[in-house]
Amino acid sequence: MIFVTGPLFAGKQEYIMQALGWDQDAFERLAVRDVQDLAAHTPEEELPSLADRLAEKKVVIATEVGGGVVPMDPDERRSRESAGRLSCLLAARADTVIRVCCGLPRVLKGEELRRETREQQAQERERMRREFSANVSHELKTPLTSINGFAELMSSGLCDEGKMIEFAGDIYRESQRLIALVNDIIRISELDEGAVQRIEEKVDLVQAAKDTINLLSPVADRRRISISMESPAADGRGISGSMESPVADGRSISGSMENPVKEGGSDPAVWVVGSEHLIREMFYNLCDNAVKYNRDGGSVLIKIWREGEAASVSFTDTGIGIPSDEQDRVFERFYRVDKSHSRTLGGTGLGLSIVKHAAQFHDASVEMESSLGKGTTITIRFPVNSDTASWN
Amino acid sequence: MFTLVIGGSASGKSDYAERHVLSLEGSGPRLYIATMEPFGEEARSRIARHHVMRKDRGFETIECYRDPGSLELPADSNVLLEDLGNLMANEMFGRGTAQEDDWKNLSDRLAAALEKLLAGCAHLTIVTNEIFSGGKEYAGETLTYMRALAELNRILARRADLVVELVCGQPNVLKGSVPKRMPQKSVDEKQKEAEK
Repeated sequence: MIFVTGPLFAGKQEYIMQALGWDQDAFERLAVRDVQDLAAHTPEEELPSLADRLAEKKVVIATEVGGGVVPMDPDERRSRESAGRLSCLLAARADTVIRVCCGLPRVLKGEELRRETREQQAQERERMRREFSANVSHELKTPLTSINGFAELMSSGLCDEGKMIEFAGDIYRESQRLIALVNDIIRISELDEGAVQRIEEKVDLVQAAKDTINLLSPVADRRRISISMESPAADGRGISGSMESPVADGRSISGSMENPVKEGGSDPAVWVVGSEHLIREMFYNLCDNAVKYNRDGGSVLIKIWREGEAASVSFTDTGIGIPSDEQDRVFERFYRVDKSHSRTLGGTGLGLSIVKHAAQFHDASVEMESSLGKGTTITIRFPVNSDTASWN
Repeated sequence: MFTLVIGGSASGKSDYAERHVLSLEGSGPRLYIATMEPFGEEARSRIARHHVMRKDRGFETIECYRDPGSLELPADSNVLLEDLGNLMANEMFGRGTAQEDDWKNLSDRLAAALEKLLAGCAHLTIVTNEIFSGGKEYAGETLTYMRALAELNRILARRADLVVELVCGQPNVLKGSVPKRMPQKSVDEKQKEAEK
């Protein structure tokens, strides 16, 4: 493993990509960055095992955080100490340690990096392609086997009418799963190959969130899960309203089958530039997960706010949560924390991977905070340029 | 020769930069470009005191808070500019300064101005600031400022013949090699010896 450290904005990622001859895709697959955030959310006794898992990656990047005055705030101090400790653990496990300052590298341990040969890169791509094909084949085979089995039973003439209806329903559900899976595979392939046209539309995050709530409210209602939204007040100063607030204030809203969120309400828009279709797909996937992995009677909160140069959206659920050692893996294709659970709930295993790729497409960041048994918050921060800032 | 000296607060970067300038070959004037805009009487008197101190060390001080590319210097001059953090802050937040819209490409614009400055002198040494390891999360204008300064540091580091980082007064050479004539004693130590 190659461990890269250095001050904030020192050009660590750019250096490693250039030194190894990687493109963005190779970096996303083979490297992990922002380990400070991981350290901050990991209990101290679990830091060594976190370092062990991270050391399986080819490259790990950590920003130096030891400078400046020691923070007074205990949480801030603890997270900085954890980040420093994790850096030491990673450096001890690394074959090569490189510090980058002002874009200039200095090898502190091991040897100078050598650019990967075209052959090595081709081998790595081939390995990834085979892995993806194997996963796709497996995921397609499961519903197809069910469909085949039910169809065989029905065509044998041995089923009574009641069973025929039941099997037809099973075939319908499994074929729906297949369609969703094929759609997700097409979407992720397009994003992978850069085949998604770079459309620069003006997208209102508030409206996109409202429409997502309306789409998912029927599913959520069946399990008594409430979905709410908070968006900036008209004066632009922070978030107004709360989950308990009535719909009438036009800023804090709840959707349900009986009381769907109205189109064109009085909530001020929060604009970003991007592909409306992709942004809506990200929102749908995140909200769908927040409902799927929630407890019956739980809640989902979608928060939208503006902060400096970013427009942010977070999806918070009161669900099962994700173990800290698996949080950095859930954005991988077909990765599932609990395979049996996912089978019952019917996800394709590609939803969060699409979110990650779609966020990259928009130069947006994705952050996750999760606590087992308490719930998960996923936040997307979209960059806002001067044009969008003036619309907002 | 183009040199970039980077370091945190009180890391010894100014002292190192002065010693480096004194070590460079050439008979041209030594010029110190001061970038800190004086606010208040106390700051003005402190700056005046520094002028005298630097004069004793053989430096002529030029105040320049913005657009260093507009300075016309003797072609054989040996220039020390301190520091980049102030220059960037003046451009972004100083009096009568540009609006937020003009912050775009600020690093490129300042780099171009410094390139012009470099073309007009024999040696240029720039002191810049390491403000990126505090581990504290910033937002808004501060983050924009940090990003812009970091970008400018990277641009200049690519361009420089020598890049030195100062840690606890110790030089860590990131690029290039230090001239052989570099005095081992600090300017302050020499000053104290002379005073004795």
